[in-house]
Amino acid sequence: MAWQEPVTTWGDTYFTHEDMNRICGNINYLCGTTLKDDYTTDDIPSRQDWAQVLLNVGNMVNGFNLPLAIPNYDVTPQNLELVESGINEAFKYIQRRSASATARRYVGSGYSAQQPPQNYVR
Amino acid sequence: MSINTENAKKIRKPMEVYCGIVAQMQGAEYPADFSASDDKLIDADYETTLANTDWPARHIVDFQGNGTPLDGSYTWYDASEVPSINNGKIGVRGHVDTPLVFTISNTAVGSIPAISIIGNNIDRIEFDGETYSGSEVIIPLVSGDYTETATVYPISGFRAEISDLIPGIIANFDNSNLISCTVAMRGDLTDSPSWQISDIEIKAYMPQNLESIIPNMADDSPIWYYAGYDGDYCETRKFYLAEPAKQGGNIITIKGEDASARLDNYNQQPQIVAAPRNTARRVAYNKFKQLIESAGVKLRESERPPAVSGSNKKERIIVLHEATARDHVANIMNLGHYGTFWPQFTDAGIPKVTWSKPTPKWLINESDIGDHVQTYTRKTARITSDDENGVTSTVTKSNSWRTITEPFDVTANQKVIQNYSDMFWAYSVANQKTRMWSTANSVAYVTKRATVKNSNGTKSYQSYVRGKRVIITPAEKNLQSPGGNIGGVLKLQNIVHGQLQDGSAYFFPRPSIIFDRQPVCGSFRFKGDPRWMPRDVFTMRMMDGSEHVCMVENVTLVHEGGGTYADVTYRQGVI
Repeated sequence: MAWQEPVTTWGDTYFTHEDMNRICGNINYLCGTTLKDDYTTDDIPSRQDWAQVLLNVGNMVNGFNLPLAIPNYDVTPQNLELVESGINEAFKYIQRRSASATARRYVGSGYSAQQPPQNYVR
Repeated sequence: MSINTENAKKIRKPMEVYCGIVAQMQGAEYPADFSASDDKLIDADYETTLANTDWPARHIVDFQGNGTPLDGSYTWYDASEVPSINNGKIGVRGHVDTPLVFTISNTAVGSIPAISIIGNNIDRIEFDGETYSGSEVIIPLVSGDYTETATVYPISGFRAEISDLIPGIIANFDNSNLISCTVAMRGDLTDSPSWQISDIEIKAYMPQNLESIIPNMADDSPIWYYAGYDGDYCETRKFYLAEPAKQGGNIITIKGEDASARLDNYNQQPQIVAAPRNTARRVAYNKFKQLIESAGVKLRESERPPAVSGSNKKERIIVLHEATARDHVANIMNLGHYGTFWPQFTDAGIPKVTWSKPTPKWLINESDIGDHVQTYTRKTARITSDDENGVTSTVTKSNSWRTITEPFDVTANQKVIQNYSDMFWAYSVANQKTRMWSTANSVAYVTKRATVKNSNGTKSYQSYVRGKRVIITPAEKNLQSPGGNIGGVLKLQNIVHGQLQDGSAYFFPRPSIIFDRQPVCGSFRFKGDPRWMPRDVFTMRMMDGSEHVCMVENVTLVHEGGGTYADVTYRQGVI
């Protein structure tokens, strides 16, 4: 499944199969996992399903040393924000790392037709 | 929104009232079979979970409809969680937009007159050519051996969920179908009280004609009630069906009593209770509690017994005479209050036992109540008794063995029950194999060996009983009020002799406590608060600014026509 923009501001709303598909699809995109990402309105996700989400988000937050709290099993807007913020920050982190890797190719070159990316990290 | 906030208003919002009855009718077998149904989720032991109507249906994350509300009340489905009253249950949940099909069976022998189904997201149930609308339905059954298919249609976009399915009747009422609900909660704060049973009467609109079915609801079927406002409800009160429910036209009438009605079921046999001064309060409180529980009252709350304190010398003894738990409980609450030791049993749907002296819970301004009338009861100036042992007495133990029965012939393993007129605190039984039970004036046992006649004409292995007596000695024939001779004479019926002592004071029975009671009683009409209980203590602030501590005797809480009020009677002081 393609990357979908995470929802990082949850209000007093409902948690739908589309939200679950976005969360699991994005985790699959980032981690190469195969979490179920085709939930329908007839599905009832289990605690074990959510445990996989928490495990992967926790690994990314800890592994990338992201300044975020680890989400838990609460079915609340705050907790879903933590999940999707974790995914979103992990995505940004990977993008930055990828951009840095690209930029490092220009270091030491006499000239370049292209400018180094703006977010080049020295 | 809270009850206190609404009570503070001149005109408060209509109170939300919820009540109902669960009348299970035990048939030959559980009437519903879901084994062939195409369900999404089902409890493995659904017959148990569906029949336990007090087990809540779990709020699990589910993508049906609009999805799961993020209000914090939902959890993730966990198949390993064992259904229980604490864990809740799944029940039976179908697929979204797909009917849930199961079978209902009845039998000719042990026929069930109806089944009740409580669910969620149910549009209608079709059974035996009839259609029943909504998520709470009662399906009348004809008797006979048969099995029919029931089809449960969900609301569009949702799954049909069944949480309760019982043989019998579940009827839930709220403001939308309730005509009136009257909860009469009673105490007795007179000088010679008897235990008063509290009751509930529900009148509700019932469109379905169940006239032939509802009289079959069993006595003791639980009736529940609570009221309040969103976010602040009183504790759920539980009553039990006391007389057959009736339906006249579209109105159903249900009457129930609280669990304290069972106090008559337990007859306390004569018993010696002995306690040194350091544990006397604890012993008295535990006996009080045991009387209530032995009658079959399941306490929802009980205070921890008083701590052991003081000297363990000077054991004091009381004799409890044969009487019902109802009489003993009333007697302890009348004559067993002293200092901070104040054993109280209140029920009114929330059976609770405490021993700490109650303090005011509510403040009532005389200006906020209506029809306030004060009455003055006659003060008790003198207490007498027809009892030959007087109003108070002491009980001592004799240490010498006394023959109660002369030796008599028995067979081996013979059950023997002996009753006596005197009271004994210890028994010695000859040729006894096991003791079945003993009271202060009876002993039951099984003999060990058969009596044999020896060659010289004497007998071996006869049985006889010896005992150590308790001696009741009169202490005070009459008691005179220290306040003088103004007032009436109260004649006590003693069901307890002797007195228990705590520290330097005798605290039970302590008839002189009656002299401390204030003669001022009263009644008023109040907005009505579903949290009030008989024997609640409140402060009454009078128009002239004076304040009096009072105790609630009776509260009749009436929800009717969208309004709520309570008629309260009280007595000044803490009784």
